Amino acid sequence: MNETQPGAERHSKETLAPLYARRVVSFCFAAIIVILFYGLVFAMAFAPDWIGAGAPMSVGVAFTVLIIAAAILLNWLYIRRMRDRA
Amino acid sequence: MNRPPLLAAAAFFAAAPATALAAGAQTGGRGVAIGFFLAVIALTLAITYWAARRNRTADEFYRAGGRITGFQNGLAIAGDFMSAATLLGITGLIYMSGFDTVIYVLSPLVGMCILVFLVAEPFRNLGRFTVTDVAAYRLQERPIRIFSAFASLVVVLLYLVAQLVGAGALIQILFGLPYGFAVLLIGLLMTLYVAIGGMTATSWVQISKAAILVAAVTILAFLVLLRFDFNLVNMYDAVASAHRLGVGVFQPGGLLKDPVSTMSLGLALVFGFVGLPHVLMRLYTVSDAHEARRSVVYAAGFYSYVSGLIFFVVGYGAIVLLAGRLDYFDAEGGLIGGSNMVAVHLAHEVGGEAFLGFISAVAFATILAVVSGLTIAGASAISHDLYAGAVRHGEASEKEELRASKIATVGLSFVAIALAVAFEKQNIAFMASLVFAVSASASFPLLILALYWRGLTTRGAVIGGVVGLASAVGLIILGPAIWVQILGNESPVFPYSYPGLFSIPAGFLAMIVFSFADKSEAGRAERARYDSQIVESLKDQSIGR
Repeated sequence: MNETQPGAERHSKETLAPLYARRVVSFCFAAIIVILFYGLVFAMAFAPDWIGAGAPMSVGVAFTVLIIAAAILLNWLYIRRMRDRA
Repeated sequence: MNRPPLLAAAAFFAAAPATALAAGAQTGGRGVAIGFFLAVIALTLAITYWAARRNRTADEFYRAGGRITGFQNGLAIAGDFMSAATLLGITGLIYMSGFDTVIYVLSPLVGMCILVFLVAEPFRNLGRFTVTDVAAYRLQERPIRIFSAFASLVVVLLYLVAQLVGAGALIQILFGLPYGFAVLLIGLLMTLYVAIGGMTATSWVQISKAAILVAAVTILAFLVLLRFDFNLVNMYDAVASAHRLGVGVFQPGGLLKDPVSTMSLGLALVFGFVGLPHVLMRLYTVSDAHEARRSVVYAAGFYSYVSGLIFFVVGYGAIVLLAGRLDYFDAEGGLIGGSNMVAVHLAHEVGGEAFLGFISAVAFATILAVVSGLTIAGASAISHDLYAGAVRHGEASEKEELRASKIATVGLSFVAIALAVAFEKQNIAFMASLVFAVSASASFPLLILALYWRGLTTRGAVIGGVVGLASAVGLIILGPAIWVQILGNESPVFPYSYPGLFSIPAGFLAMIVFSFADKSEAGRAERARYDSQIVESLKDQSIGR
């Protein structure tokens, strides 16, 4: 038996519900940044003309700035949310 | 598909460091570069000497006693991905191909976000020393440890060899030392850091290097912007005039020519980053899950800052500032030292000999720090997962495990050095693709499904992991990097350089299908332990802070 391996204790719905809720929130945060990034990748793959429109200050450059800003903002919000919960 | 640029892109993760100090030698800055170079070695050895006094227990060796703060660990994690590849490779790729480099720039950032939101807290709460601890929490320890340690070792060894080949060439250029001796020197240094200083030395070497790199890139970007009176729009207009692609340098298509390669690369880089063992191990070096989360947030901040400066300022600025400067080009019009030398030439152009020496030494420091992190991750997989977990079934004493970890460090270093010497004349670009493909296709699915899917069983995890690993390795062997360029066949069996689009779903699918098919008693027990795992993984040790 693994020294860290737990037993199969039963946990009530009341115990598990808030934990599942936290995980849903975490997935939502992750989904936002993943969708933004793969949106850019998908557009680069299938709509390069649209991404390159307006060069040198192209849609792609603006999208890049947006993703970096979103990543920083989401990280800040997430940490703040976790701190408030604590 | 445009294969040569694709391979060049892959190479930046592996061989970019190779020519970092060449400009120092070629433009008269060798003395300054050597001075900074020796200073880096002196600083890192001093850190190791200081850390050696603390490196007495397994806890100290694997996770620096958990004494690293979130801020410090943030620098270290960022440092793991702000390697010579970031400074030299990405700058060179922007210079050559422009906007497509954005995938390389953004993927570690997206990976860090996934680490913060989905991995950091449960990983820190469930595990103890290595990546495998998390998967072994509710699954059968022995098969999981053997598979996961093997996958970690494949990633670590390939990454180590790629870095050592680049580092060997680097020292060779600077000192005129034989390649083999240069690899041995780097290998000896990384062995010393890890075997004597453990995670404390490894972390502080990485922290110091990351801080120096942040300063170096800031100064470089400042000096570039100074040339354009801090007007980015004017600079971009000049870039469009100076580059062979014109405004195309701000549009997709300069590097990645087909949708499959673009999507595949995007997938492998993000998910491969999340599965890298030397990055994940750093989450244990802080006191609790709260600090683990904070450390990745800091890392994302540092990485955004540095990569943003490189992408928006340094890379594009180099296109204008190096244009027409004949002393940086050879008789055929090619950049001296190749595209990886762009940042080094730029440093000379905007800051003179002293700054060139400084940037060159920073590149060397990044290599030392990254290979040390890789070595400790590999040594831990051997000593903690294979020796203490799989062979001794958790019965090894702390003293025995610590001794095994030091022996593993020396052994792993020896193998890596030997392979690096053997691969001197080989095209090692495929190794970089392989590192991220294996990490994304084998380690990442195991990590995510172990944390978030009740249905995962040991059988599914091991079979799925093997499928992910084999498909990643197999497709790269059958692809253009090995099948054509190394084995000399006319055309590849698998037409793409990046297998992620196929191997990552294969890994996930196999884990899910074989877990569903597992009706064994052991499988049922593993599913039943999932609720306990959730409670344990999300227990908030930081409440009341």
